[in-house]
Amino acid sequence: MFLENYIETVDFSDKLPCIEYKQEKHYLVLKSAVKDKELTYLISRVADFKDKSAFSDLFKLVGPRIKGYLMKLGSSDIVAEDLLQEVMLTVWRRSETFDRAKAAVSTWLFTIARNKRIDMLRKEIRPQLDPLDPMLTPNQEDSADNVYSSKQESLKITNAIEQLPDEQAVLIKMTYYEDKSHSNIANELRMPLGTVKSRIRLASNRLRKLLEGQIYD
Amino acid sequence: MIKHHLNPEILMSYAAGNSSSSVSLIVASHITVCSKCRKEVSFYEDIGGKVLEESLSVETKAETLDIILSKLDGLNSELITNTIIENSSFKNIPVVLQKMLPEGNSLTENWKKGIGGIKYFDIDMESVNKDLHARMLSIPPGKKLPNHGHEAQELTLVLEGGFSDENGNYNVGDVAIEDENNIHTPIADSEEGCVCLVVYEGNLKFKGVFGPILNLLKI
Ligand SMILES: [Zn+2]
Repeated sequence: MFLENYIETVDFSDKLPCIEYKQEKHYLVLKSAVKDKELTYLISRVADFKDKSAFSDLFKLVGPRIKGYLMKLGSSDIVAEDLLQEVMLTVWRRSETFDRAKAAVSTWLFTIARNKRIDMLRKEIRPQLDPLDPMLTPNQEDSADNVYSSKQESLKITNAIEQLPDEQAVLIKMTYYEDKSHSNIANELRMPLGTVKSRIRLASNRLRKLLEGQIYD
Repeated sequence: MIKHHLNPEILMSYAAGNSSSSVSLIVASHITVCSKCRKEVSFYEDIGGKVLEESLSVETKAETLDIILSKLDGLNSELITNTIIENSSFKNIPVVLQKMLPEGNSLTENWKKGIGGIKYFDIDMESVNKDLHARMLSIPPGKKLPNHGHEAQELTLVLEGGFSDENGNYNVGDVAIEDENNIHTPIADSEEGCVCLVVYEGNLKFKGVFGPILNLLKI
């Protein structure tokens, strides 16, 4: 699932003119078919046996992708390299806590990368849910299997965002590709904060329909 | 049973990693006790996962893997450990919030006395942005607050007791989201009163549910 069997030809600079892509010549064309399952296996080898060769394979499969993601969000090559090291060290240390029933590999890596970015770039604390908090209420009833399979079948996010009205798509891109808060977006687009929020709310409902075929409420 | 939830745009912003530290505190606290909003956050994190997965690969430096491998030895695994902080004043609040509070008995001493029997103290968010505020507020039973409106968003999470206003009853775990269009006359629970966490971003004024009180207790 993570690195599917397609050749990367997407040029994001077309779609997101607001972002500068400096290192285009380093973009790799990735042809190998690698399944989420294989990544899960590699993570389990690291968790169970501290297997450095599995960890190295994992790095080769996900490292360039994580670096590309960090650069897409605005990090320079040097900063992205530093962050990538931090992310991979956390992957090593947290491998035991990865639970595929709860999250896809890509989601797990995203949360680690997100937190490292906040730690390093914003130098700000980020209060986070403690997964072992005794006050944690049980999850809702639908089984993890169902959730996971529906996610596997779902659309690519780039395609889902394309199906949103332009005025909503731009806000979702700024949220996920540019790391902009609601007030940053409002300032940049000279739009009332309330409009930013209501459009993101509409977009979130639409994305849930597109990606999961369901609405929560 | 939680009746008043956070809204999609706040949950998405938290999941994407661009909500402020004080809003993150209230989201993390609410989703500890609310599986509905927690599930929604997971969905928005899945979108983040897809964004990562669909990012273009950028070749890493030749030496990067070796540098990482050289740092692995002696690195302990980070099993997330169960951190229960003994806190004499509050036993039933989420760990994420407990971590932000003064430790042990000192919490009782940290309450400052305000008008009308109201107690409060500020949580240090260690943020460079001085326009972010997080404040614990303890309102005595039956305390009624005057009519008021709002200019910007303020979030209130009930931790003990509760309050009521025109939108209904807010009990433990419920969140009140206040914006410029609301007018409220909140009344604290007649028996237990209300302990809550209030966060506000923007100007130096609290204008939400308990805004008038917060403003009288100027920072
Ligand atoms: Zn909720």
